[in-house]
Amino acid sequence: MSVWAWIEHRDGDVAPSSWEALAIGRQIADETGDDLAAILFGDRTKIPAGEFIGRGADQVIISDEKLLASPDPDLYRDALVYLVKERQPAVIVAGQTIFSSDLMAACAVDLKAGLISDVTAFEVVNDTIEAIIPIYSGNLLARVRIPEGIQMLTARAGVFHPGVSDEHRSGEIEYANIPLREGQNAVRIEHFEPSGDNVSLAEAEIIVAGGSACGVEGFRLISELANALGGAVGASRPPVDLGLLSYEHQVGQTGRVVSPELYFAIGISGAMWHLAGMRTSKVIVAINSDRQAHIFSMADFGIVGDLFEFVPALTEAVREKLG
Amino acid sequence: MIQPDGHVSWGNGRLVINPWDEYAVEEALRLKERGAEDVTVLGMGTQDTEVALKHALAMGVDDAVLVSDHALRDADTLLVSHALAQAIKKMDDTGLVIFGRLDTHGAASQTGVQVARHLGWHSLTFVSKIVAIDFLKKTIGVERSIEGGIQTTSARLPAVISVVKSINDPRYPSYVGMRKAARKEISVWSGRDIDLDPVVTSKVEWVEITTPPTRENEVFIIEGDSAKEKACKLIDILLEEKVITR
Repeated sequence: MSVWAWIEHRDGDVAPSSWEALAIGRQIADETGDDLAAILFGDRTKIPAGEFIGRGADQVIISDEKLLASPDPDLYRDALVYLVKERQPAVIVAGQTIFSSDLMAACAVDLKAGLISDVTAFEVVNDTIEAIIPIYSGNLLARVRIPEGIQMLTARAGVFHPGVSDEHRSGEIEYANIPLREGQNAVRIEHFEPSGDNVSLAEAEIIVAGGSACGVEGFRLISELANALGGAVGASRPPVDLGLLSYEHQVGQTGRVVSPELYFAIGISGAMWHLAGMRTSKVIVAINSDRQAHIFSMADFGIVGDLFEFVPALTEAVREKLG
Repeated sequence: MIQPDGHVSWGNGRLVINPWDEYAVEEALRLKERGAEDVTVLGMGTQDTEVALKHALAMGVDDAVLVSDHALRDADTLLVSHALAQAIKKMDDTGLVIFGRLDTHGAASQTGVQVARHLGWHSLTFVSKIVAIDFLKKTIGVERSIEGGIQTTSARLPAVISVVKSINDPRYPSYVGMRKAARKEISVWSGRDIDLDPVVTSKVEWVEITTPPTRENEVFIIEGDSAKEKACKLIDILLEEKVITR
């Protein structure tokens, strides 16, 4: 029996959440006594197969069928389902990107398998994974499991540690043949317009977010702080509704769910809808003029004061101390 | 005909119209101006779900269907999507199914993808705009709000899409709409009516529900005589804790 980690990458550039999936797979494999395999599709010359072994994979299974050269959702689904049916892994873990989530959901139907999404913690109990998932905006946690059959999981990005590399590890690399039929090309990507920010929220280690108190000037200051830290700019819902920033920046129940190392909540009161989107951040810093604001009950560090005074002061301090 | 998804009710929690569903309903209603003939709202659950369906009717959808069966209690997304797909199969001429993005259990657009797969249709998630739609040529073009930017994608109909909040501003039901909705009947379909396959069962089991642990430390408020002092203190702490690095 084995544990599989589905690895999403672009020409060998691995999605951060896939490293996390690999680490999760390693942990599960250690507890169940199984082997861990990293599964990838794409050009073998671009894939750093050795790196996956260094990071915990016992096997790296690569399929570089020509039809899998670019990520066609239907072909990837058919290919992954084929591999699963052929080799019968006990567990498949993926990082929760949009592409991988869609892929796992579609595969689960073909495999008639259970799929647990948005996993933020887990425990292995008698070879079955009990996964913790946030529900009702994270106000509650559900512990769920798949008692029979293959266990498929997608893990919330940014919550789990990606693990470290050990160059002394050894493992096997295999190139798998997968018979595939030419896709219908029924779904076609016409164009991609990057949002113009250097850092996207989904992968940002540091996010500086502003709320209703900020306004145009506030967000200008927030942008400067974000730049100084090399982080991304986020927002609660009201500024986005007002058109101050585009929806891609919105953090919260109706926006993105993020889990960065460091989250600044500036002029954000801390309503439940917003917390749902950032409560799994490792460190939360709140800046708010109201000491009673709910955000302070979630934050690790806080400054009570005027954001128009403190955000520039922070930016200056960052520039001084980080050079 | 288009069917946007209504609310999926799970367990005994207080029913709230999932904020996402209004966007789905609104988008469907707007498509009537772009060639769609009919809008049906489809929900699953118990009588409580009817509140959500009535709201959709009040917004202006033409018909409402509730799938209700004991076998669907505590159903996971595999079973839910199978049931919804079976219900959709019963409806003629469906060109497009629209889901809101999340149900209260954060299944993160999984359900829409799975419904599409059960039907053998294409699925597009995180749709932030329907750029073009042609029910006769059976094509749809959308923008998707994905990581890092906007992706423009086209697909053939029939398809299932799940939409994000920024796609529109849902209308408020009018008084007339609410009165009409009160009088309208919701069709209730059982598992037998939709040919629910007894072989399809939930694979995900609920062990327990708990409250999250409170974040361990009480907030540490940075003190100091000036903004500069407090700012420096904070950055020093973050450096010490290795949350930021030089």
